[in-house]
Amino acid sequence: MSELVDKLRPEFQDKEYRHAYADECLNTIVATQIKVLREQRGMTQKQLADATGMGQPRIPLLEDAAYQNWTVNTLKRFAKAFDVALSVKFEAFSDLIRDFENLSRESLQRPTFANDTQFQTQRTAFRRFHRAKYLPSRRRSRNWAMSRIGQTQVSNMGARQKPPKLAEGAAGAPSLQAANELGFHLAAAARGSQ
Amino acid sequence: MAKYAIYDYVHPVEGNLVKTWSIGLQKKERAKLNAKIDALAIHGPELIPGLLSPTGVPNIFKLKIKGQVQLRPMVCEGPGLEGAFTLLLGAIEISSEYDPINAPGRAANIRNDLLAHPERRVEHERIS
Repeated sequence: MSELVDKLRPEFQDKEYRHAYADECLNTIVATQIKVLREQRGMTQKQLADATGMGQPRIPLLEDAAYQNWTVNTLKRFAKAFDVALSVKFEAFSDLIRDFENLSRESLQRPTFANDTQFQTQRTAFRRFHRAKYLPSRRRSRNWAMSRIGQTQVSNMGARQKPPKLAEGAAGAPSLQAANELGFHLAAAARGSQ
Repeated sequence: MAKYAIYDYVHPVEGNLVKTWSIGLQKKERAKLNAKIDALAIHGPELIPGLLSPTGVPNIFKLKIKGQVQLRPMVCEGPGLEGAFTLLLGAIEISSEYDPINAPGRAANIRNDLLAHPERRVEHERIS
């Protein structure tokens, strides 16, 4: 049981009190997550203002835990700029207090779509294809054998056949679109060589 | 739970200034004030942006609580204690003016008094 919930239990018997307290928690969580996500993506306030189409002076306001005039539409613009989904839902007070109590940089960070593992199926397929085409069979066999005995694999790239470099996305990682395009070309080339 | 200890300053004649000030607030304002104090106790000033704002007076910060009345209790780190904050004085802000007048300056005097008389510090008394 949370120590904070224990402390708040008698106070929260009053409806006006608990709603005012919860408002303050929500404002704190929203402002903190905006700042954490901006920093996670290495963005300046100016870059975030550009990405959201807002004036630069609004960003420090929205990153202030005392700010309370944000709207869902404003948050949707931030969600698009950070390339994350916005989830607005009603919660039990205990859940909100738990989130407030467990607030941390790690708990507030979110991956961009490009780094969202659940949506990397096409990229994974491309990697498998790429590996099969470029990895010399003897080294592949050795890697397989070593992986079976729990040792680290040696480089999975053939020295003479370096893969073409992919265009980088916003977060510095190869963009999914570039990977897809390259995968398409490689697949076409493989079909031609058969 | 709490990473930081929160204290109140107790004036030798007027008693606990922040407690007296908190009793005079509306219920909604007290709830918001307590949420801010809890945030400071649990997370400290680093994670939450704008939790503690500078006042222009060295070592004196204000907690910002927005509402119909803009609460600005004056806070300092320590003093003389690691991992602690002391609520020095209750104040409000109206059109960029503090009530009481020169609240940050008064808070600085209280902080100096606390440094000379550390016994004038008590564990924060929560008013709900």
